[in-house]
Amino acid sequence: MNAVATKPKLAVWKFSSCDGCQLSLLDCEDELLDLAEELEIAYFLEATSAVVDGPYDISLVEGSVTTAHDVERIREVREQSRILVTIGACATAGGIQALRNFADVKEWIPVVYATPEFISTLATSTPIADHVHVDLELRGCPISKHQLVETILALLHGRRPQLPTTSVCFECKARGTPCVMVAHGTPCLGPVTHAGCGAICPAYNRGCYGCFGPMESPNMDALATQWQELGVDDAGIVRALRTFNANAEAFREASLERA
Amino acid sequence: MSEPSSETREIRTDYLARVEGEGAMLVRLKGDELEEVQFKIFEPPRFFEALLRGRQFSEAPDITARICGICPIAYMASACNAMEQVCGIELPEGIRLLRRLIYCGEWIESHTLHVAMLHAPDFLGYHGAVELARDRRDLVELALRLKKAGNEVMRVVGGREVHPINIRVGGVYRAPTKGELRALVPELEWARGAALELVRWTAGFDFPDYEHDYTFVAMRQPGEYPLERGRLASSAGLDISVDEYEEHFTETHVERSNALHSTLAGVGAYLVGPLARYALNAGELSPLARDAAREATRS
Repeated sequence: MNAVATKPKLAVWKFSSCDGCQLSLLDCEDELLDLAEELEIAYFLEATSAVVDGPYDISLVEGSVTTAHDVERIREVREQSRILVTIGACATAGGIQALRNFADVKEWIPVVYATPEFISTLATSTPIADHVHVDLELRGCPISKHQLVETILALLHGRRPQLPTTSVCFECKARGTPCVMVAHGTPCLGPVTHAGCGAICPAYNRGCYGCFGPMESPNMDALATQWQELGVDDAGIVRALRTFNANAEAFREASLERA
Repeated sequence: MSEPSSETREIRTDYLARVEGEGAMLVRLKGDELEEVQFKIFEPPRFFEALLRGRQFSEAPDITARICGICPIAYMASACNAMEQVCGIELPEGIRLLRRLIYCGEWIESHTLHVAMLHAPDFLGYHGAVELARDRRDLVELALRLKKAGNEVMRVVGGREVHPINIRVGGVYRAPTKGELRALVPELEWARGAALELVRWTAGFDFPDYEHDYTFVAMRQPGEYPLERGRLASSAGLDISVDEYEEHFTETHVERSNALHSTLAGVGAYLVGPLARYALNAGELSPLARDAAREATRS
């Protein structure tokens, strides 16, 4: 970052989301105060009422775009940001609220609200990259706080963050977890899911449920064949693919083929 | 007393800071008299009630957790309770205690976040915890370590801090080992002392001299401070099982807010949260917590 006396400015923005990825920054209990020495927290409403005007050196964006107002707001955020990093499944894929993309949101509104005409919402929930240029994406529902710290430090020191591009399978092997699919016949999305969580679910005897979204080159057909052999029907495969990253391309296409 | 001014003033906050979610507030005063308060939650709707239709009952805990990343266990435990009631499952005592343990971890994490990092700055005149740390680094470090102790319970029992993966209808995917649980003990013993210190610190804050005749609504479970189970009680004599909720509470939709408004039959607006829980259950606190509360309210 600039070798000037002022500290780089960090902004954290929220769109449609659960706040969990922003919280991951406050969950960096050991690093938070030191990070605050290296950068200026210029806009982070969940943590501080101090608002410093842009432009910002790094913007972390949580959440998906679901309102006309947010379509405008993300453009303003982009204009004020030198580096824009999306954090989490909502911002990178549309989140669980993107299940509306497979349905009719007009039919959904009265399920929750007595007066649907008070509600203003878009028919789809879309990732930030559908609207503006994104410099870096951190996957996960939620993101890994280790990846978050690595990314902020890398950007502060002008290097590329080291983020994995493999599948969760590599992380199971690295931590010595026996394959839950092979050893227990438990359906697992690990072979097609982006690494980064540390393969938590298989270490707790459950199959990966894909919260980091699809890896770079997932073999969806091979996975589906394996799941079918384990007794999961098409409806089960579709439900497994339609959670927090339902709108990520590889998961979306594979679920549409089988729906 | 001087002649009251009849001038109308508005205090408008378009984006509330240091709260979960997105909200705005409008306060209208006529002279010194409060005329109107409007709390507007503009957090975009995500339609969980609609998107849960057609899912397997077993998927409800993981999906509803995503309502809030700061208190996912509240949603996971509620979804599990609902599904277990439908299935007629009575949790074995060990499993129930494990669920209570991870819920305690969430309370330690979430309440420390709120008390020390989101609310204390308002009492002390700071923008946030980072600014507070410039003057009271010791207290912010204490809070961060206490929060981390809660998160560590979440991580060991649940697999991770935000959106734990180990809670399911009927129990857990893998019970933590004795060794994993024992390793938590030293830090939790430290945390007990730190929590008492936090209580003493906040008891010294300058609270507004304001009392209101609230109707409190909280869970109640004889023999324990209610957390993961119980009946619904109020300070006006309500005592119902959770499945009778809809016979007593009405949720309405007002134009300015994407959050529904809830009223209690025969009462109207009511107060929930830690204050209500304490008001209805103070007698169930552990002796240590009861003494700390007594000491705090004296100061």
